[in-house]
Amino acid sequence: MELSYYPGCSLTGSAQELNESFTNAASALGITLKELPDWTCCGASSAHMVDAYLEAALPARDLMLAEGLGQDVVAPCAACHLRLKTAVHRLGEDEALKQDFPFKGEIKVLSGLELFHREELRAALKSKVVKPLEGLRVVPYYGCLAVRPPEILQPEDPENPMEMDRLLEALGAEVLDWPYKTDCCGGSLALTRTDLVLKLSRKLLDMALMVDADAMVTFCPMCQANLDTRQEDISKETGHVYQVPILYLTELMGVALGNPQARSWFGKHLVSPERILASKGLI
Amino acid sequence: MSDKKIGAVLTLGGGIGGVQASLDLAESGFKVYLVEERPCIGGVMAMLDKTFPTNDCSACIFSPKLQTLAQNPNIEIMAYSVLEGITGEPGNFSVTVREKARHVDPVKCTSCGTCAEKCPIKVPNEYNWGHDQRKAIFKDYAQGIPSVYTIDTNRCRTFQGKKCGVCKKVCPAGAVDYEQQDKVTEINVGAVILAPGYELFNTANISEYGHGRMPNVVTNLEMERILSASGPFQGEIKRPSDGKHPGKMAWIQCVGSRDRRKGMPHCSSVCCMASIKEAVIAREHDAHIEPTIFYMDIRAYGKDFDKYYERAKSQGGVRFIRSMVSRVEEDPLTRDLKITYVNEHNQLASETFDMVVLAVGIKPSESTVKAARLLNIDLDDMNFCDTGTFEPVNTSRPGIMVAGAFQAPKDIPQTVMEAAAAAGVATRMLSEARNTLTTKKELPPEKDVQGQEPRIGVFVCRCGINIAATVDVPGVVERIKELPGVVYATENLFTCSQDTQVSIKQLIDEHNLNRVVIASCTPRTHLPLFQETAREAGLNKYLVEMANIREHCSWVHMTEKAKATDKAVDLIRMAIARSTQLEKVDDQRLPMVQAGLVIGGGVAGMTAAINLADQGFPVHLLEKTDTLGGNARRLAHTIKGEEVQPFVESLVQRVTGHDKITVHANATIQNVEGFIGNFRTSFSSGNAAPETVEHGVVVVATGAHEWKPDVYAYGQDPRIRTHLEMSEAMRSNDPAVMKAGTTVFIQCVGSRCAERPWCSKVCCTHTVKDAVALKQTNPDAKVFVLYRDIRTYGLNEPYYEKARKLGVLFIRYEPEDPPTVELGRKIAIKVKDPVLGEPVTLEAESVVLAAAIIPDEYNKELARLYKLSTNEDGYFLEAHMKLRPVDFATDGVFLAGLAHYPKPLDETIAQAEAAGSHASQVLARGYVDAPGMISVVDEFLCRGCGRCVEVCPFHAPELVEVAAGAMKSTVNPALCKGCGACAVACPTGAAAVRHFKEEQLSDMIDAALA
Repeated sequence: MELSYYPGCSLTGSAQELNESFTNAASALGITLKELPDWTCCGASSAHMVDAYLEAALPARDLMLAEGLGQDVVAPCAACHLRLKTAVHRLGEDEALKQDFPFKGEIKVLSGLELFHREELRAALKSKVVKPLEGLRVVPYYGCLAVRPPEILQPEDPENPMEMDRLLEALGAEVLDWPYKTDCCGGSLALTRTDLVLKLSRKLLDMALMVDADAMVTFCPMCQANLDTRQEDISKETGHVYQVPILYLTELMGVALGNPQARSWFGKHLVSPERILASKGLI
Repeated sequence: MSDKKIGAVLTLGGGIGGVQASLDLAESGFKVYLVEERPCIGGVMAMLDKTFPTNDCSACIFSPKLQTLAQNPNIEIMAYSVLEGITGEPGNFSVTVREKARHVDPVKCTSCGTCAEKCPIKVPNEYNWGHDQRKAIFKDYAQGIPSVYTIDTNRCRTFQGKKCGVCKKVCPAGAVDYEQQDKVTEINVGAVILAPGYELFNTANISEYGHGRMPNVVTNLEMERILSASGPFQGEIKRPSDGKHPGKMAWIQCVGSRDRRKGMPHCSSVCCMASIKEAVIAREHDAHIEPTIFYMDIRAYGKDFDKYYERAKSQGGVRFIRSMVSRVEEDPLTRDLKITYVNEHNQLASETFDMVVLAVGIKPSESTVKAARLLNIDLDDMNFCDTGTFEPVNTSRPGIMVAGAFQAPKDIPQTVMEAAAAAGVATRMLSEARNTLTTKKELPPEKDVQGQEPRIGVFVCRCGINIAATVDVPGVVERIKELPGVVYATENLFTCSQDTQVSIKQLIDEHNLNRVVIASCTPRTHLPLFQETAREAGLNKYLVEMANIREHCSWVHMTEKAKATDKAVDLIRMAIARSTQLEKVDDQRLPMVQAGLVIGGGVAGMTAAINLADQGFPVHLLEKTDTLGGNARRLAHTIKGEEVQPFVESLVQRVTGHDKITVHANATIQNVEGFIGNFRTSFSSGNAAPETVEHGVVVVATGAHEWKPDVYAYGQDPRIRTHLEMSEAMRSNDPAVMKAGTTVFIQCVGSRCAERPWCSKVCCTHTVKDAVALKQTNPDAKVFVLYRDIRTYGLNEPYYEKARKLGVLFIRYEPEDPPTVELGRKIAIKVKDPVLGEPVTLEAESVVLAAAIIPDEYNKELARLYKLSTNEDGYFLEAHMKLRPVDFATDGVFLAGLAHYPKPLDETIAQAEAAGSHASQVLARGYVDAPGMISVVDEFLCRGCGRCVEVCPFHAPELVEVAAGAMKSTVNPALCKGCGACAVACPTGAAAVRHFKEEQLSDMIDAALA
C-alpha cells in the first residue's frame, strides 16, 4: 500500500518520536509512505482563529499537492488531520474557495488511527506481534480532536470511540474502561490559561491512577506533550508525585512488534515509560 | 371506491390503538383481522406499569379490553404476522399477510408453560429489555394473547441443528411442531386501519448518555418494566449493575427528541408526563429514592397534567432542574453516574446519581416505515404518517386510516380517540356492508331449571402445575364429590382449554346438570368463557359459579400444601353452597329511539352530527347562538398553513343541507328526561314555541371560551389583543398588527395559576404560528415571546424551531415575577431575563395575550340535566381518563371538543368523529341491553323511605306514589349498574341485587363457617 504522508510541524519537532514510531509501524505493516513534497503548515492553533480564508487556504494547498500525487494522504497529527478534513468540507461548500483551489475530492484524508484500524491492517498487526503487551494496563486517550466536530470527522461514535481500544487489544494490552476517552486535556490553552490546563490534565491523570493504569495511550501530539510536561507542575501544586507515562499508540506498536529502536523514542518523554515497560518484561 | 364493498377491516398493530379500533369495528358489525408483528398483542401499553395522571395500573385497565377482544368471534387475531402486499381499491382491498411459524400449534397449546420450564436455553428477555432471561420457547408475558408459546428459532437448539427436542417431548398437548411453516393468507377487506405504534430512538446514537454501555443508565420503557410487579425485579427497584436499591435517581428529558442533529426535530409528547409519573411511583415503591428530573420545558399540556406536575413538585418529592445535560459519566469502580449540565445561571454544574433514566424519544419503527411503503402512503420527513388537520385519521391513500403514535407522538387517550375515529370513518365508508361477514352464534333454547333439585357438576382445574403442584387436586375431588347436590365431579388438566369446553357441554347433557361449579382461576378473566360454555349447553349463564383456587390459594400458599388443599376444599364448598341457591337471571333488552341529539354547533358538534346523519340517523343539533361554527369562526389558518374558514363553511353547508340534520339555533335546554335509548329533551329556540325531541343518544360538544383577561392592561389599550382578536386582525390584514415594528406575545395569561390550574394546551403553538407569520411578512419586525414553558408538543416542535431561526426571541419568565405592562406612546413591557439575570424593557406597538381557555358556566347546568360529571375546573369528566375519553359514565352520552378540555382543531375533529362513532354504535344496535344483575325492590317490603334514592350513584331508583301517600321505590333497569349500594342501605331488605341475593351469600358464608 502506498500513501502520501503529511507529517506536519509537530512530528518534525516536539513529536519526533511519533514521526519515527509511526513511519516504523507503517513500514512494518507494508505501507509505503511518501512525504508530500513542499508541504506547508496546516494552520492549526492560529490561522483558523484569525482568518477564515487562511484557515482553508493553507490546508487546501496541501490537499492540492496530495491530489496531484493521486494517493490518499495520512496525517498522524490530530490537529493537522482536522485542518485538512475541515478544508475538504469547506471546499465542498464554498464555491469561491474552490475557484482558488480546484480540489476535486478524489483522494481521502486519513488519520493515523483510521489507517491502522482498517480491518486488514489490524489483522496484519495482530499476526506480527512478537511481544504481546501482556499485563500492561492502559487507558486509551483519544483526546478531543480525534472525534470532534463529529459533522466533519464523522466518527463511528464521537462519545465512546473504540478504534484505539481495539488496536491495543490486538497488541495484547489490558485495555481499561474509563470515562475520559475524549475529555479535553487543555492542550490548546497551554500558554493562555495554564491554570485550567493543570486542572483538566490532573482530572485525566487522577482517573487513570484510580483505575490503576500503567500508562495512558494517545495518538495526539498536543495531548501527549501537554499531559507529559504538566505532571511536574501538578506534582508541585498538589504535593503528590505524578508519574504516569503518556505513550503514543505507535510506540507501543513498536514494542509489540519487537522494533529494537523503540527504546530510543522513550528518551523524548519527560515521564519515562521505561521502568513500567521493563517491569512487565516488555523491553 | 369499489362497487362491491367488503364488510371486513384489517387493523395493523395490537397495541391500545389497534385493540380499540378492532373492538369498535366488531361492535359496529364488521369482521376484523388484527395483525400484530410480535407473538402477543398488547403493544407498549401492556408493558407500562402505571398510567398518568391517574396512576392507574396499566395492565389492570387494559387486560379486560384484551380479553373482550380475544373472546369476540368476529375478531381474528393474527399475531406474529406481517403485511406483504395490498391490491384493490377502497371498499375492496386484498391484503397478503404472512403469519410466521411459531412451531407451536395454537389450537393445541394450552399455554401451560411446561415447555418453557424444561427448555435448556436461556436468552435475554427482550420484553423486559434484557434485565432478565427467558427461554428459547417463550411467551412475551404471562397473560399474553394469543395464549400460545413461540419458538425462537435463532436460539432453539433443535433449530441450530443440535440434539434437543425437549419441548416436544414434554408438551402434554402435543402442540410443538418443528415442521410448521409460515402461512401466507390473502384477506379481503374494505378498509385498513394503521395503528402500529412507535419504537424508541436508537440510543446507540446518543452515546453521551452511555445507554448500552453503562448498566445503570436505562430508558423510560426499561424503567416501566423495572417498576412493574410482573417485571424483571418483581417491582423492586434495583439498579442493574449490582442489584442495590438506588437512592438518588435522575431522569433526563428530551433524549433524542427536539434534536434535529439526531434526525428527531419533533417533541415526543409523552415523556415529560411519563418521567414525572415514574419519579412519583418510584418514590411510592421506595421512600428512600430521591428523584430529580432534568428538563428543558415541562410539557404537561393535557387534562389534569399540570396539577400532577405541581403535585409532584410540592408533595411528590420530585426535584426539577431546568437544564440541558451534556453528558453522563460513569465511575468505573462504583458504577455511579455523574451528570454534567448547564444550570439556569449558565454555569456548569455536576451531580452524582445512583441510577439514570433516559426519556428517549419515540418514532415510527423500521417495520412501520416498511409497511407504509408497501401500502404506498405518504410519510412526513420524520416518517410519521402524513395527515391533514381537517381529516386527522385519513392517510394519503383513500380507504387506509391511521391512529395513534404513527400519526404523531401521543398519549393513550388521544390514541383511543383516533382509533375510535378511524373505526368510525371505516364504518361510514362501509356502512352498506355492515353485518355481512360477521357471525352470530346460534344458541339452543334455555332449559327451565326452576324448582328442580340442584344437580351440580364440579370441575376442578389442575392448571398444568399451577394448582396441582400445591393443591392435591385428586384429593379435593374425593372430598367434595359427596357434598349435597353434587352429582358429578372431576379434574381437568386445563379447564379453560377448548377440548374441555366440549367435554363440559357433553357432561351437562349426560348428567342433566343444572348448576356448574368451576374451581380454577379468577372469574375476572375466565367467567365469561365458562358462562358461554354453559349457555351453549342450554343453561342460563347465571347458573355458573367459580371458586378461585389459584390466585387465592395455590399461588399464595406454595409452601403449605396440606393447608392449601384444605383451603381449596373450603372455597369449593362455598361455591357449591352458593350454586344451590342460584337462579336464572335474564339480561334485559329495552327499546331505543334511533335518533341523536348533539349539543353545540361548533366544529366538534357539526362533525359528530354529520357522522351520525351520514349513517342514516336523524340528528337534532342545538346551538345556543344564532350561528354555527363556534370558536373556529375566528381562526385564520392552522399551523400547517391550511385555511380554516373554507373548512368551517363546508361543514356548515353539509350540516344545513343534510336532510337528516335539524338545526335549532338560539336554543336553550329546559328539561331532560329518560336515559340511554329513550331520552326526551325539551328546549326553546329563539322565539319559536318550546319543543321536545326524543332521542337515543346525546353528544355534548358545548365548547369553551377565551378568558377576558383582567391583567396586563387588557381592555385599556386597543393595541393589546387576545389570541382570537389577534387572529381576526391578522386575517383582515390589519396594519396595526401586520406592520407593528415590535410585537410581544405573553403566554399563560390566566392559565396555570391558582384560579385556573390548567394549561390551555393550544396557546404555545398558536403564538408560534402567529409569530412565524409576522416574521415571514415582515422580516425586520421584532417579535418577542414571553413564556413559562414552551409546549409545542409533538409535530408542532419544528415550528418552534422555525420561529427561532426566523429570529423570534423567546424570553422565559417566572410566575412569581411576571412581566409588567406600562401604557404610553409605545407599550413598555418589563420582564426579567433569566439568562441575563437582568430586567429588560421591550417597547412594543402590538401586544398579544395568550389568554386561557375556560369552560362554559353552562356545563354545570347541562351536567345536572343529563346526570353527568365535571372535573373541579368545570370541564366535563369522561368515563375514564385513559381508555374512555369520549364516553360519559352515564350511558348513551358522549363528549367531544373543548367541553372536554382545550385542544387544537385536529384533536377536536378526531374526538368528534370518535364520539359520533360510539354514539352510532348504540343507535345501530336498535335496542339497549342491560345486564340482569340489577337491583329489584320488593314492593311488599319497601316502606318508601328513599334511602336507596339517596345512596345510588347512578340515579336508578326513584320513589313513585303507588297509592295516595304511599311511596314505593322502583329501579330503572337501564340505569342500574348492580353495585348493591341500595341493598346495603335498605333498612327492610326490600332492595336486593339479582344474583347476589341475601340467601345466596348467607349460604356461602354458612358453608365457610361449617
